Amino acid sequence: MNKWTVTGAIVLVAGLAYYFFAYDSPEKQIRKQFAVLAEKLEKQAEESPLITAGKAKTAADVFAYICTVDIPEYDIQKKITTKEMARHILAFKSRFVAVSVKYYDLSVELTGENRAVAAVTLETRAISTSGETEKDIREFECFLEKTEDGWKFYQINTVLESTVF
Amino acid sequence: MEPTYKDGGFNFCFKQRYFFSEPKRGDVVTVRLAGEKVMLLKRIIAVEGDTLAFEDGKLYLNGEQVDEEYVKYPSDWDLAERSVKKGYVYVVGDNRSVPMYSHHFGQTPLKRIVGGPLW
Repeated sequence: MNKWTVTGAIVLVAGLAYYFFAYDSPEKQIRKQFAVLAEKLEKQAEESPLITAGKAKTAADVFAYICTVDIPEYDIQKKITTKEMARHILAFKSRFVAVSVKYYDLSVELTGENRAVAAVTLETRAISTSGETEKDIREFECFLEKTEDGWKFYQINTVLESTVF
Repeated sequence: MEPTYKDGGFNFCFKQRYFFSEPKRGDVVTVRLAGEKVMLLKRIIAVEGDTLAFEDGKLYLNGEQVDEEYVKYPSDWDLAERSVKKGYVYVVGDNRSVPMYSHHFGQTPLKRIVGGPLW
């Protein structure tokens, strides 16, 4: 084996290692945004109101300045600003003592330059102040665009034709 | 889907169930969401072209009341008449005692039906 073959093999391995471990592809970046959103939507049992408010604001930061939300089963069909989104998230979290969020079957498709669409099943479990557990499972279609501050959700729809799902 | 299927129970999805036939009214089917990790178990109550409505918990299909023997719990659902689109079926669970807003039901494309429960 000559030195050029060895060098080539090393470069190839280094390239693959970089791609798999260091390079943040758009898909990886979008998946990270979903992870951030889940983390900030969640609420621990002893979370202070200040932390909850801070997490609501950070969760809202993954959305574009104006995000179109279309969830007909809850009569939500409107454009929401980041500030309004933070208020809605805070109001939602304040209703519960604890909230957990889990994604299933998250798929990301790049639809154009700096645009992507993601499909996901979202499971939310929440414990109300009266101690009851509420569970919701729903599929969403999320449209994202890449901005200077990273990927932002600019539209969210529920997918299935429904009265509820 | 209670009482037909126990909430939280275990079953297998029989994917070949609709290999040679189309889903029909009354069938219990598994409906996928974004992928196949989460599936809903529902009953088809109407197929494409049908109209349906609920009045005080009773199902009206194409204008006629349907006796649903699998529905065992009392229900007070009211739902205005609607038509099932081409390529869709209308699915509902058997447990209609829960409030409508917390029950997953509605029109779903046939392509989202993965199969049916094995037993």
